[in-house]
Amino acid sequence: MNIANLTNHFKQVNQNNHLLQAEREQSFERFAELGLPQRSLEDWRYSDLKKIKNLELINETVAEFKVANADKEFSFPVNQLVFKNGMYDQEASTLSDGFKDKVSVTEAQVFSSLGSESEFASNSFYHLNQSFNSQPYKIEVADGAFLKAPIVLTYKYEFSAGSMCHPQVNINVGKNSQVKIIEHHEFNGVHKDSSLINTFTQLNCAQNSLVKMLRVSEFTNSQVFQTGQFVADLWKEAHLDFTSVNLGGAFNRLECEMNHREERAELHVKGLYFAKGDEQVNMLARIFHAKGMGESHQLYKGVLSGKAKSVFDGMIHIAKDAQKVDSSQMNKNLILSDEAEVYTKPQLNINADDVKAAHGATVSQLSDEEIFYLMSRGIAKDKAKSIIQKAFVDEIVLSIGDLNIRNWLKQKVDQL
Amino acid sequence: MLQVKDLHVSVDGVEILKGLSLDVKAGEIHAIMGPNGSGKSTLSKVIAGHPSYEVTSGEVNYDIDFEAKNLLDLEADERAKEGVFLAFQYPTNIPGITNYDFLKTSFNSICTHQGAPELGDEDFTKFINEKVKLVEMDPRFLDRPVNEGFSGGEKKRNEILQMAVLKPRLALLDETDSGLDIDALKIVSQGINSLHNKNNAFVIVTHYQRLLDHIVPDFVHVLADGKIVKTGDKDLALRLEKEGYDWVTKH
Ligand SMILES: Nc1ncnc2c1ncn2[C@@H]1O[C@H](COP(=O)(O)OP(=O)(O)O)[C@@H](O)[C@H]1O
Ligand SMILES: [Mg+2]
Repeated sequence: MNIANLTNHFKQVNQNNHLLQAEREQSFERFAELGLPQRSLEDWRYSDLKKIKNLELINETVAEFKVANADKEFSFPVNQLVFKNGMYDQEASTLSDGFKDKVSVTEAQVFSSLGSESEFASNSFYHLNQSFNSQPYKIEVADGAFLKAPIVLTYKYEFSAGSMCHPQVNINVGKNSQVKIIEHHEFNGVHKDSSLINTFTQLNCAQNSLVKMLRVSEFTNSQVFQTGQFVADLWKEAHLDFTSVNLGGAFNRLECEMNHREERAELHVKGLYFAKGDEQVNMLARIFHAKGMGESHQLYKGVLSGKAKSVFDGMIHIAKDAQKVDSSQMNKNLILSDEAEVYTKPQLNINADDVKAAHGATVSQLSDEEIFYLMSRGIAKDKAKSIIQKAFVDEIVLSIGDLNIRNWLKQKVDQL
Repeated sequence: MLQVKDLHVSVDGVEILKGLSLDVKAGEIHAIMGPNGSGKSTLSKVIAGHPSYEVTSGEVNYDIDFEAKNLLDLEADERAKEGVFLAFQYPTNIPGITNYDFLKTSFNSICTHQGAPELGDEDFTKFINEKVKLVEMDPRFLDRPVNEGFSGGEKKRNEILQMAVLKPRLALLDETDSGLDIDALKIVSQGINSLHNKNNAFVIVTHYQRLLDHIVPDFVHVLADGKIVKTGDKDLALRLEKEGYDWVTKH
C-alpha cells in the first residue's frame, strides 16, 4: 500500500461526482496523513511487521463479481442479504414478505458519523474504508418490529492478489424492535497473498430494542489480511448481545467500540477466536459508559496453536456521571503449543465512584491432570484433549440462545 | 490378576517407591494402609498409568481371562479399557463437560473396545439412572460439570458412580473413605460389596479401620517409605488402629 500508487488509484475511482465524493476526499487525506500502521503505535506493537509489510503490495480495489449462487447455507428460515465484494446483490438475496414490510435496505447517501470520543477518527483503516468503499448500505428496521427469522448479511469475496475490499453497512434497529443479525464474512476463493478485507459496520440500537448479533469471519487457511471496525450505540434500555467469532486466517483484527449513550442499556460482548500456524489475531474492545445504570459484560476466549499470536486489548471507560454501572471484562486463552504467544491487556478507566467494574485475563494450557482423568476412564489422549478444548469453546457457543444459529456456528467450530 | 514386582518409581528424580511387591488374585480384596507420604497414591497412579511417574525398575503384570499383559506398556486409556479403574484421592474438576456426557463417552469408548455396541441417549439414560440410584446420588449431578463445585464427599461418591458404570476388573480405591460421613461411607461400601465378585479384585487404600467394618479384606498391607513392610489379615488393621504405624516400623 504505497501511498503514491494508492493516491492515483483513489483519483481514478473517485471521479464520478458521487454524492460521497467530498467526504471521501477528506477521509483519504486523513488516511494519507496517518499512513499505514506502525509497530511503534501501542495497539500495533505486538503485530508482525512482515504481515503489515505485505499490505504494501495492495494497490487497487476489487471489482464487482457476479457468479452463480453457492449452495444454501442455512437449513432454517433466514432473511439473507448477499454482498459480493461489498456490493449488495439483490438477486442473490432471499427476503421474506414479512421482512420487506419491516426492513428497508438502501444505498446510503451520506456516511454515518462517529461519536466525538471514537478512536476510529484516528484509525487509518477506518479512513481507508471511507475512502474506498464501493457503496455504503443502510438497513433500517422499523420501530416495534419483531423478526423471528434472523437477518443474515452474507459477505462473499473473490480476489486477485494485491486487491482490497471495504464493505460498509449501517444498521439501525428501531425503538422496541427485536432482531437477530448474523454478519458472515467468508472467503472461499483461491488463497492468495496480500489482499485486504477491511469492514466497517455501524449498529444503532434504539430505545428498548433487543438485538442479538453474531459476526463470523471465516477465512480459514487464507492469506487475506482482515481488519474490521464495529461501532454500536445503545440508547435508553436497549439490550445488545454481540458475539464475534474468528475461525482463522493469516491476520485478523477486529476493533469494537460500544457506546452506552443513555441510561439502563445492557450489553453482552463475547469473542471467540482461533489461530494456528503463524496466524495472528487482534481483538480490541472499547466500551464507553457515558450514562449510568447500564451494564456491560465482555468475555473473549482464544484458542492458539503453532506459533500463533493473539492480542486482546480491552478498555472500559466509565464517565464521571455514569453512576451505578455494572461492567466486567474477561479474556481467557487456551494455548496448545509452547510457541504460541498471548498478549492480553484488559483495562479500566473509571471516573464515577459508585460503579462495579471487574477485569481479568487468564492463559492456560490443556491440563495434564484433566487429560489423565479422562484417559483413566478409557478415553484416548487425542479425544481427551479435544473434549477439554471443546468445553473451553462451548462457553461461548452455548451462550447463543437461538438453537438454529447456535448449531450453524457449532458445525463451523467443530470442523476446525 | 495383578503382580507388582520390585517396583521402583521416581518423580522428578526423587525415588518414591523403593522396591514394592504386591500380588492380587481375582476375587480378593486388599487393603493398603500407611502413613502420609509413604507412596500409596503413587502406587495407585502408577498402576493406572499416570505419565508423571517414572518407573525406573520392576514389573507390573496384569492378567485377565488368561491373557497376560505388561501394564507398563499400555497408555492410561488402554489400561482402563482392560478393566483397570482408579478412584482418585483427589478427583479432578473438568469445567464445561457435564457428568452425563463424560460418563457416556467413557462408557462407550470401553464398549467399543470390548466389541459391544455403543449406547444411545435413551438406553444410556436408563442405564445411568439405575447406577445413580445405587450410589444414592441426586440425579441433578449428571447435568453438572464433572466435579465442579462438588463437595469432597460428592466427588468421592461420583468416583463410585463411575466405578459402577465401568464395572472394572481391578479397582484401586485411593482413600475413597476420607471425608465421607457415616451414611456416605455405608453407601460407598455397599457399592463396593455389590460390585465385588470372584472375577474382579479391589485394592483399597485407607487410613481408617472404619471402612473395614463394612468391607472385609483378605489381606492388609502396611506401606511405609515406598515398600510393603508388613502383610496380615483384617486383624492387622485393628492392631494398627490401636498401636499406630510406629508399632509396625519397630517390629
Ligand atoms: N507429582 C509429584 N511430584 C512431586 N512429588 C510427589 C508427586 N507425587 C507424590 N510426590 C511425593 O511422593 C511422596 C509420596 O506421596 P503419595 O504417593 O501421595 O503418598 P500417600 O498417598 O501415601 O500419602 C510424598 O513425599 C510426595 O510429596
Ligand atoms: Mg495419598
